Amino acid sequence: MGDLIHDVVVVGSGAGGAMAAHTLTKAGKRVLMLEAGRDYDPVTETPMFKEPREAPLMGAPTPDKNFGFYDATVDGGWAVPGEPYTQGEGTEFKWWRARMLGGRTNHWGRFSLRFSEHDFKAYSRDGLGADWPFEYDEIAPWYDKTETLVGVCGTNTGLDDMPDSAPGVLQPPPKPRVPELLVAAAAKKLGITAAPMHRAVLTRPLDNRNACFYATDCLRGCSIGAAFQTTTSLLPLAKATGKLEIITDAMVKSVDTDEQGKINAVTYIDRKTNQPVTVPAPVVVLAASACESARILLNSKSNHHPEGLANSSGHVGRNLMDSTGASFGATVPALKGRPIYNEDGHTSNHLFIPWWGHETQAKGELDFARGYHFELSTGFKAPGAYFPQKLQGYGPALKQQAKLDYGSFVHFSLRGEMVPNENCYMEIDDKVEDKWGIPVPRFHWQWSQQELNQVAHGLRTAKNILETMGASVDELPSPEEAIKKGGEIIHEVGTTRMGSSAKDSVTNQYGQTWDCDNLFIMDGGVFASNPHKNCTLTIMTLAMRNASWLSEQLDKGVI
Amino acid sequence: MERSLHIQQQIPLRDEPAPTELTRRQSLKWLGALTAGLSVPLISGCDSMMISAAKLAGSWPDLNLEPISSEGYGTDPNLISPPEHPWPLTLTPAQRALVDVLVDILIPREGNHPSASEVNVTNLLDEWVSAPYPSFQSDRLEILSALVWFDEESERRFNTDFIRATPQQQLEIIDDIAYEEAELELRFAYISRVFDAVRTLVTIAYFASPEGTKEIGYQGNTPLRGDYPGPTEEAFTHLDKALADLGLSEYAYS
Repeated sequence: MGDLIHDVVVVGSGAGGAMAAHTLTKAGKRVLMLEAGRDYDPVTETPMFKEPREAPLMGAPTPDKNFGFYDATVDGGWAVPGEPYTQGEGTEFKWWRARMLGGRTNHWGRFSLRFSEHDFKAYSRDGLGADWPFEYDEIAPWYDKTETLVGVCGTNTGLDDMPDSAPGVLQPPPKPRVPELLVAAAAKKLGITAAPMHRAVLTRPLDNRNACFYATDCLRGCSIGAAFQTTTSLLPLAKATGKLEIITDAMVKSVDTDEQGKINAVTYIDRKTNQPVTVPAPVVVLAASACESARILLNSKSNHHPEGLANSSGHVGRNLMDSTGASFGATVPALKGRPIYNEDGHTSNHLFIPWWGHETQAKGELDFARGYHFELSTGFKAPGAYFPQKLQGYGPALKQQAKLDYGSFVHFSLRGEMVPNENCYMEIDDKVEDKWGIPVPRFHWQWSQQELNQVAHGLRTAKNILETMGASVDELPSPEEAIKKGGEIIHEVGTTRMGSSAKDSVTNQYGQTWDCDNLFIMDGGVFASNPHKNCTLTIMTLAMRNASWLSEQLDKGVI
Repeated sequence: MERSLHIQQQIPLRDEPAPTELTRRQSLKWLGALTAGLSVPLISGCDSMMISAAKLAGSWPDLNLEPISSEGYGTDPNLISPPEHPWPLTLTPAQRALVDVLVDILIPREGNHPSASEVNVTNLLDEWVSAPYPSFQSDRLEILSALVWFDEESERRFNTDFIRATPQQQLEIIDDIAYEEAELELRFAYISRVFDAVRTLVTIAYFASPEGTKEIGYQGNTPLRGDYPGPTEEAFTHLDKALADLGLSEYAYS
């Protein structure tokens, strides 16, 4: 491998890595991409149209496939064979990984909501956590470019929680379904506005990708390229430049430095031979996911970098954040026995409920600082993929009940912003190595009262909306019972956060580490806060912007 | 996504006074624990005492099963051609015969609509209890214990095992356990919950079959040309009436 000539080595092929590689190769840079997982082709491997009954256990989740048989995830989930992680005392953190080209973009929810100036400057407003080192206006054009390239359906709503895209950027959203329209009306009565979800799903063809044909759960991946994943979009586009080389089954162990402490190589374990391989690297972009990239940095110790690479601030691994999550649902009598039609749509919510509480929060009327949104799950789902509510009896009456109840369940999923706290972080457990001989992360996690109050508010709100729809609602769980575990929403970010000072952040606003000018982070690790709106669109937007900046620096000869 | 039944593993008897009936609140909480996959720590000492008492009162057979030793389908199975026989089935012919009877009591043949056993729900149950994964092995213990319970209960009442009892006698037992009230009665509290979990699984499996999917009327999983059409006129008419009935017409989404 020593004779390969590359300008940049990118670690990871998911949202951040693929966008970085796409941007760099389009700018003429030669990129070597290292992916820990196996090669993966959605065109031939996605189980389009397969019925639940064709899968073992009707596709039910198992320890082998945590999100069900047909989930796109390869060799991953909450546990990767031979690649453990450990927990601090009292912690139960869950770390989702995928070992495949394209990473977690192959199965993500495709929710693509912009962060706003309000989100980027939360610290200035409430004194909690940290501000981002730029203004929304600087990022807005990059959101436009990213949404255009990725393909996002949705509409400009003018709501304060949903910054508008430039005209013509968004593709038209699909029409709402009946249960969503009922939720929207009930919410409106309570002063809460529903809006079309923004999703990275094409409703119009783009490049070599087809528009959605409104069938097959996006979680499985998408062989026609409608639901965005890097394996059908950014990676083929980057490869077409002739400037991208991808090595799969390359589990990166360390970023290496010369005698002066300057980064000059990356070492990975070839998973097929179990041998270490070192490749020269004039510039390194880490985009292995927030916790994997922080792990690589912490495992890359040397005399010049005794606490790990890029860790002079001591912030690598700290400020770990996930989204808050909680679920609440009920059967809605008014939806029972309604006329059946095809409600597959783009297989996720067409309407959702963005955060409506900026004003009440500003007035100090809420006992939590940051917002949340509700995703809705409703509809006539494929039999086998839905779970009937409490059934009674047997025989014809049982069947009658199940048919009557079909499509009447409305489920709210809360996704909220947490405030970073000192009890949530990762470090290296130097007593445990994975099967490649790489020391593993140890996680520490504790929700604060901020998150518990937020979830309690969300549960009460969901109950109010359901009752306004005429549903009778069970007793609410306590927020401690209802809140999902750390990591469980799979929005882990913040472990290499960006900032305006080398003292309390790991990178500058371009993802360039303060300590090493030829080392960049382009995954969710750089997030200074974790707004409730799902991280992937912003990971891609920052990767595009920051890879463009990196490319300019290379052109200028600065790096 | 919670599809496994996660029926609660057996909990040892304790030296505490046995309650005679369950309160509604205890019942609901316990029901959640049994069927929603909550883990043991969320069951309070009081709840576990209830479970023990219910098992005792209901003559619950505590089976001692050999663990399943086969392999799962792995973390990278072929999704296009799923394994048809991912692991060996383990129910005996006698157990399958009893399952056939039970699933057909739940979903009997009605006119042209087949019964549960006719669309291979028994196979699905066998695959389920034979799966080598921990939560499915927990379900295996509960379901196999329930099969024994049906035979023993039939012996107690009618001096014959369940499948040899008359249909009327079988339904006499089923009627005692198939409704929510049974969950409040200590001697039926345990079997009724296992029965409920099996009923849910059987219902899903039936409607997932080609015949069941047609019967329930699911219209998706078919590629559409052009934009998603949204609700039909008929569906909108229903929605408009629902909005009106709930006093929500003025808040309709636009």
